[in-house]
Amino acid sequence: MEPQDRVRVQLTVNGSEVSRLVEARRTLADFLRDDLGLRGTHTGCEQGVCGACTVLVDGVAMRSCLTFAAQLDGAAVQTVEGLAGDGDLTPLQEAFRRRHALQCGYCTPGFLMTATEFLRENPSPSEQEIRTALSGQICRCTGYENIVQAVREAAGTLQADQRRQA
Amino acid sequence: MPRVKTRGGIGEDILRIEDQRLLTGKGRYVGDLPLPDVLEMAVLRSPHAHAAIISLEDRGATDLPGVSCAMGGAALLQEAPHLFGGVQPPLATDEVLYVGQGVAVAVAEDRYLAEDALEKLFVRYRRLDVLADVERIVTQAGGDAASHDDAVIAFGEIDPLFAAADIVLEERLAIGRATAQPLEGRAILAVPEGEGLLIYAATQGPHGMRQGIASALSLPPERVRVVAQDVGGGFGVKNGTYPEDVLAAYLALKLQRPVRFQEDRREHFLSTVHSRAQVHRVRLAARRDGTLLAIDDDMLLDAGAYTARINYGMATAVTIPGPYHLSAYRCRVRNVKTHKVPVGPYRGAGRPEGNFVMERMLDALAERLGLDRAEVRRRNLIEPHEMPYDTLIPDRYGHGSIVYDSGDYPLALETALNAADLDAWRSRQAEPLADGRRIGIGIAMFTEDTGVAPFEMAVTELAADGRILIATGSPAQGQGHETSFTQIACSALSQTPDEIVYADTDTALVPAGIGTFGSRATVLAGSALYLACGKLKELLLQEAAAVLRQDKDLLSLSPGRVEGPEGSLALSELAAQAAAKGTPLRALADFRPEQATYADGCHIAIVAVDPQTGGVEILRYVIVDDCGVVISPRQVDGQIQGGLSYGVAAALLEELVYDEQGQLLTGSFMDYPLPTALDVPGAEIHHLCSPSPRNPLGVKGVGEGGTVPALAAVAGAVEDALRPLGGGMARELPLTPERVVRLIADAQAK
Ligand code: FES
Ligand code: FES
Repeated sequence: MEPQDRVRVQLTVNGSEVSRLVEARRTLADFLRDDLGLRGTHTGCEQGVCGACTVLVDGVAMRSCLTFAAQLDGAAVQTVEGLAGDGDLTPLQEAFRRRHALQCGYCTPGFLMTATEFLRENPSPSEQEIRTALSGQICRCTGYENIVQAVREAAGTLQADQRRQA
Repeated sequence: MPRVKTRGGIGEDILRIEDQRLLTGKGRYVGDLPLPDVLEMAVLRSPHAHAAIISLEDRGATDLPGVSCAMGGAALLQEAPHLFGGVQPPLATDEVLYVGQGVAVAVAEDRYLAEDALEKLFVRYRRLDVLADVERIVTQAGGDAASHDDAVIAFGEIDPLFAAADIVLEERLAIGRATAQPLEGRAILAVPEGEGLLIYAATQGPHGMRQGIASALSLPPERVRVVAQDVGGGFGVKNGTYPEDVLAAYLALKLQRPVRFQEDRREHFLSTVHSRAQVHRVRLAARRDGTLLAIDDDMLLDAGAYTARINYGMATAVTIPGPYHLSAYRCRVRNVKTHKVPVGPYRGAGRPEGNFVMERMLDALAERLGLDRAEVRRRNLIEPHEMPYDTLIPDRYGHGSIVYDSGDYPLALETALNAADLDAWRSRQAEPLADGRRIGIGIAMFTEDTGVAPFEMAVTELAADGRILIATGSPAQGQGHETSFTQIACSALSQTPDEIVYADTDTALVPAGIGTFGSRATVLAGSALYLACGKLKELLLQEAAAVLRQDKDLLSLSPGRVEGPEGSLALSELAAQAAAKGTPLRALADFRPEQATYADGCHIAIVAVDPQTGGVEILRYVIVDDCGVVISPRQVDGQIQGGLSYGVAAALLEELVYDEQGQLLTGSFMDYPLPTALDVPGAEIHHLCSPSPRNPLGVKGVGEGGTVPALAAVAGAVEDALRPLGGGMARELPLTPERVVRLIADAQAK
């Protein structure tokens, strides 16, 4: 197959069925942004290092700059646009806002997706665990402290919610 | 300074207004703007640092489907010679001067196709000699090294002081080449409109870009409109007009289609300005009691291939004296030409380097005299009763000398010392930690010129719906002006944030502006906005007095209304009346301070250093910052914490390493290590408040204060940790693990 050849993919993105013909070389990031108009997913390096492009594929955080759209036939993709309903914020997004965990906001979608997965796997993390989990994400503005505190706060909120429901 | 407290006003700790859209993926960065017929641009870049271009052959680039245009520099020069009038040509024509310089351009329906086109352009080069190492260049040229612009900043009689001094220290200090790396690369979208262009740009200075593009394209400036919406970080590098900006603007006009250039990371490393890159030969003269007498510095700046738009070596030169008494000072600045990416400002823009030089020399003086590092500083600090303090440092714009406006430097020092609980840490220094690491303590103080001249303008207007529109020439790249400027307007007009509409920075709204850099936006644009709000208030009260038939002096503003003793009026009604009359209620203010304002503070770093691996961990970091009146408390702390990460990175991590052939060896995030959440500690931040008398808000800049002293504080701490093992002075940044280990090895070899 040549990079320019087109491949049919069928997947769900934020819960909606999508079927498209894509060039084999098209990255998931470009597919989401340009083909589907979901421009909340950003690219910061396209080298797999900065994590800005992170989305969840079948619930697992993945770098959409290093993934080809053509690989995702049958997958379920979640992006920042799919985190909360219209107008709402998830507890994690709320905590980012309350803790001033974003400045320019360019890295934020990637941090939110990574932290969403992380908190699902590790609902009561220590600060060091949070820092380690986020160490694959680059933020140039905040110096990280407020992001770490926001994830902590979200973990606390989520736990309180679970306790209430229990 | 405004005294009345308003909900959402100055000093209130409100949540940021911009966050809702940024958290939900609804930001409006240049790459996000949906336009159906936009063309994407890509640039072919030189693989050589210095070479003659022999030929450029098109083997079918323009025939590819979806490709609108592909051409090299020579063809562009023939087609549009007027584009080549600036310092740097939009594309190289016959000679390339650094790896990464553009030699050809292509635009196509998408970036993939544009890059396909570039692959069909073949360039033949003949390699030429490469200038890479500034010290070698200067030595070999015997003082005649080609340089861009040189200067000397000096006051007092240097030589007699050195001749008579008890102590003379001399050192070579160096700060590596580094670059800002905002997470969003440079981005521009040029849309042809009428006879001109509408440009969306990730820029720190829309008005400067308008001027730059208009003059490159020989258009009258009013035919170019530049708008900055959400920008993904700037830190100094998204300023001025880059070659790609001129190319995108020209091609949009030529093809009459929108053209976008979105830089990728590899290109950012190879084409966006680099910075720092200084070598200092510095001498210090002092008395036996630790009194500083004079500093004499000779600075070489590795300036790259083209003259920098801003000579930040001059900012280094005026920063070196800092908060200390000095009897004489001389700093020679030489911007040496090399075959590397041109340099420009990067968070702190020369100030962190200057601070590093002075603070390291003070540590060396303390070491020589066996004095405590804090004590050496204490003995030399300018006292609050001396304010305003004439430093005698010539203002680099030629307006006389630099006069510090306010500040209590001894208080900053003592506050930091108390907060850091140094005695407890010192007692742990005698012995290594259980894992063999050693503890070190570093102290650095700073003064920084913030809010540099000449001016900024602001516009306020009563909008049709009765809310108040605010606009300035200083866009945000993360600094949150939408929130902080709204807070200023709330205080000035007794409104709450719901009644304020923050406009994107747009050259069509504000007649002139400079931009956001050098910790200046709040000082200058914020002050202009405050003055414009004051003027609008007068207008609103005057109009309302006529409508209500009440005495204007008895009227006042409240959220959404004008209140009077005998009845009130909604601002929306006032807006409707103004619309009916066809006279908009609008005010413009132009704020032009005589001098910058001077922020100050003190940093204390406590680190653990592994003498075996050279690894450094920051255990505790205390910051005392005085930026005058605080508008938006959480954002001020956010700027300081974010700024700290830049200082830590400069001290320990980031370096653009070039080989002798001018090839960049650290050109990706894999080998240019940006700080992560594991590298930057959460700082403990304390505030002092010495309001500036030089602006109506009493503010000083804060965007760079977190960075400026951190290089010296961290380096001083690392050195301190290794002294008991016989380690030498930390003279060169970044202190990579290799350099840390060598601090001991080199000292022992001597
Ligand atoms: S853009 Fe994918 S990791 Fe940086
Ligand atoms: S908020 Fe700007 S990069 Fe993280």
